Amino acid sequence: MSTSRIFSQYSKLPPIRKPHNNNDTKRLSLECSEGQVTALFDLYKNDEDCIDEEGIVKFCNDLGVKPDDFIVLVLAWKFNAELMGRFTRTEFVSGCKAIQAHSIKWIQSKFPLLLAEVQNRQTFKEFYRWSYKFCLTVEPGQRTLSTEVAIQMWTIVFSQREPPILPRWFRFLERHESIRGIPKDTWDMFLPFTEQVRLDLTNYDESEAWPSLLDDFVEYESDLHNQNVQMQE
Amino acid sequence: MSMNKGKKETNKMRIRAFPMTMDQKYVDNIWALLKNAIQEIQKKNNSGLSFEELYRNAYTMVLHKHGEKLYTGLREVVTDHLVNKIREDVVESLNNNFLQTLNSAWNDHQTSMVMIRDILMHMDRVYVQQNTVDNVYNLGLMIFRDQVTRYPNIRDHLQQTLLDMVARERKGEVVDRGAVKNACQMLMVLGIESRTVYEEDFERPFLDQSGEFYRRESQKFLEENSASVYINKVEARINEEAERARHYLDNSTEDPIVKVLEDELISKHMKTIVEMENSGVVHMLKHNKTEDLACMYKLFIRVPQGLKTMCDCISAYLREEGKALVQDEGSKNAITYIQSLLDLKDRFDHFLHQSFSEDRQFKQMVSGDFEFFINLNQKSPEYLSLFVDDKLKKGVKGMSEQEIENVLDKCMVLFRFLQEKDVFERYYKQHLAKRLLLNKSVSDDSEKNMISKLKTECGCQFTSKLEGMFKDMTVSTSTMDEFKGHLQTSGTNLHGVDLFVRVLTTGFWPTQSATPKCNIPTAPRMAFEAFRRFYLAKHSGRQLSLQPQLGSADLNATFFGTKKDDVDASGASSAPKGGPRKHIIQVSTFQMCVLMLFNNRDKWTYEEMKSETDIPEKDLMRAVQSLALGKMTQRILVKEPKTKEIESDHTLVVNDQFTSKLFRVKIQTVAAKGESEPERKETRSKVDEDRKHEIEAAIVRIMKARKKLQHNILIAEVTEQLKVRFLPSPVVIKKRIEGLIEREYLARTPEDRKIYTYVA
Repeated sequence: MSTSRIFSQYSKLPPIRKPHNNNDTKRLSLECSEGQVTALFDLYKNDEDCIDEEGIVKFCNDLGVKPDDFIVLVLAWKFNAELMGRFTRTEFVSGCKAIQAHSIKWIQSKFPLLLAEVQNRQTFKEFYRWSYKFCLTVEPGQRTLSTEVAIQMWTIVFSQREPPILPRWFRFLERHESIRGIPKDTWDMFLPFTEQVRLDLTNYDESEAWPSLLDDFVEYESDLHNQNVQMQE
Repeated sequence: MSMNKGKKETNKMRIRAFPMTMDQKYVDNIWALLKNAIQEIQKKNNSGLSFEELYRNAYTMVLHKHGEKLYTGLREVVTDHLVNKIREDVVESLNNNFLQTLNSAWNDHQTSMVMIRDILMHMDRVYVQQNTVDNVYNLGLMIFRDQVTRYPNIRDHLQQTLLDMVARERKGEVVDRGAVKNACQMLMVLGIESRTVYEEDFERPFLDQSGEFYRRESQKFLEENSASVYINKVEARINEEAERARHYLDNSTEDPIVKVLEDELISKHMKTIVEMENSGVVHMLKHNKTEDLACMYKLFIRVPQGLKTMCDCISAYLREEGKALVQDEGSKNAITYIQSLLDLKDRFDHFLHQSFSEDRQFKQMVSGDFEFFINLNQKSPEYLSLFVDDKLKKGVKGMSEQEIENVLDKCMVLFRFLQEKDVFERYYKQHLAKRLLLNKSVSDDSEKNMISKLKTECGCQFTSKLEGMFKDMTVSTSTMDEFKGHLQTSGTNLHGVDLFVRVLTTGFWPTQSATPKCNIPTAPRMAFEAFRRFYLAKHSGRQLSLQPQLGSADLNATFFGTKKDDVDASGASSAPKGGPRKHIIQVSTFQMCVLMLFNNRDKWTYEEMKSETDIPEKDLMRAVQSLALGKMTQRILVKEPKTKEIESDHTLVVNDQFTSKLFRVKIQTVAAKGESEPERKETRSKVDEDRKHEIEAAIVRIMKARKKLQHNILIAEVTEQLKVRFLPSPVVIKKRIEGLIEREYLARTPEDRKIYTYVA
């Protein structure tokens, strides 16, 4: 039996139509907002067709935030910014598209959404790790973040949800001038450290693969604790 | 009546039973006959009996199915005899010849039972088998056991008597061993298929009593307060008891009684004996009492933890001795330090051989202890290298080749104990270089021999550079030959300088931190330049740098002054004897530079010397000290003022008064045997640097092979690979891992931060 005979019994089916997906209108709206985004970019750009630090200050001002606010860092992350203190045209435009905002007001309205997004543990981890590399770009050719800058970055990055251990960590870093900067691995591992190690550090195992700076920190803290206990006794 | 002896019926024939029937009277008669016979036997009156007849009667009874009557009757008769006669006799003898009486009763019983059994053999074979009752002999045994031996009075008294006799013999009395043996055998036999009777009635109480006895004995022995006496007594007692068991108790008692002794005499007092003051193990070790130690070893090996107790005590002592040796700073130099360690090892090897029959546990203890204390002193690797250096140098006094070989083998044993073998390697290289360059080796062969020993221990990596040094020496010699040829053919004039250059490949030889500066005087410098041109023409692309801290020079020296003559009797000094004196002086490069200054000018201040020669202060000081402040036979220069110190403004002139019996005078350099503290620090920091690289190389090697590895396993593998050279701590390894992560050789896996991957 040939297939045609079977199918011949059926009358011709109506053609399949894709659901009307507003492509046209969307395209229109996109174009319209792209134009707005470009216009927005032009407000802040400099002679070299980039938003530089000065421009960023203005941008933040208009957004009602400070340049070292957490949300600005998140924005930079969302925009996939390559260098700290600069937004290229591509970065800015595609970034705004990504968050679906085309004006100051719109961007502001997206803030809660962005903040919520970055609360997710996995997302935060990516964001956290990215911020180290991003921060390094301030000084080209630098491989390690200085302790001072690292502390500032940590303050910003953890401003929404500060791990309780943070102040003691900072105290440790500040009291030990011999520490020569924070390598990437130590930065990266600090996050799981805050998540997995108890506040009293009792479940810390220094034979595990924690970076040695964290070993030193735990040792320092336990020495302090012992001294205090001795004094109290 | 003819009788068919109980032939087994064949298949074909059937023997018909006798047509006779047996009436009760007949049976009673037969029984009466047998009963009487049995009783006669029991009374030892068996001579008049006919075995055949009795056997036949018994046979008949059984045949006619009266086995039961016979059996029961037998039991009655035997019981009756034993209870009413024998037991009475024994009880009567309780206080008089008891054991004798019992023994003879037992013997008699056995004898009669044998006879009775023979008569009743048919019943044994048929009736007993069919009704699964005890056979005749065993029946007799049981009755004897229950009615006589275990009759309460008798039983207790027997036990008491036997124990008493043993106790007396232990005290040294002579007892009737035969009687005891008999009694013990009786008990064994009465157990029928087991030893329970013996065990319950004698052995157990015997062991208990013995335990008690030896508990007291041990206290007595301990009071003697001498470990040596104690163990000898113990050994004697053990032998005595074993022999007692074998001779007149039962053989099977030997093991349990020995165990009791081991328990009471050894196990319970192990520590006390071992640690006894003035006589225990430590005393024995100090005073070389190999035999006592051997005796103790043989005893203590019997009990659990015995050897361990000894081992612990010996180990503590050895560690004390070792610690004292290695921590005794200041008073020792390297040679005596190592020699004392070798002597200590010899001492304990002697004990191992003589007293402990090379026991593995003890060997391991000694090795462990040596490893422990030799590494307490960080200078041990350096000192060991210096010791070996001393043995490989020319002029080793009083040792044959074989003796030196033995000493070096013993040094290798010490080497194995070192944890920081890489430190040893560094020093060995330095010392070897000195030996080769200053031509101090006793022979190339002995050097190579030592290196092959090291190679066997540590593998090629250790020794490949050392072998490179030897190669340089050989190559240099042939280079010099070519150079000499070149001089002739090219007609180059070295202006009277007989030059010998050794070219050292940088990688092989121990490096200084920086080549010290030095202004070489003209003549030798020109000569060297000629060589340099020659060499670089042959090997373009290489670089030669002169090492003034090495090398030596032979200088022709003329002394114009008067000899200090013997003053003759008149007190007047005679005229100067002979002309100027010539000598050849053998000096170091630095000393050559200093001395040749005096060809230009007669007087030099120290400061002027320094600026003219440009030699570093430390080296210049040493050179001038050895020229000006040594023994008279070494004093080439004279210093004004004649103090022991050298200050910048002091002046030096040639000592024209210099004399020596020898034509060729070698000037010793004031040199320290070991390193000075700053030098040691420098060596150590170099070692640490090297270690960092070695750790990283090991990590990369392992990760490259395994691709992915967990943190703890990586640490373990790195430690394992490196432990032949030194013991890296996990902390240090972790830091190196971090460094490699930083430089992107390794990375953590995203899923588990405890696992690393190799980044290609």
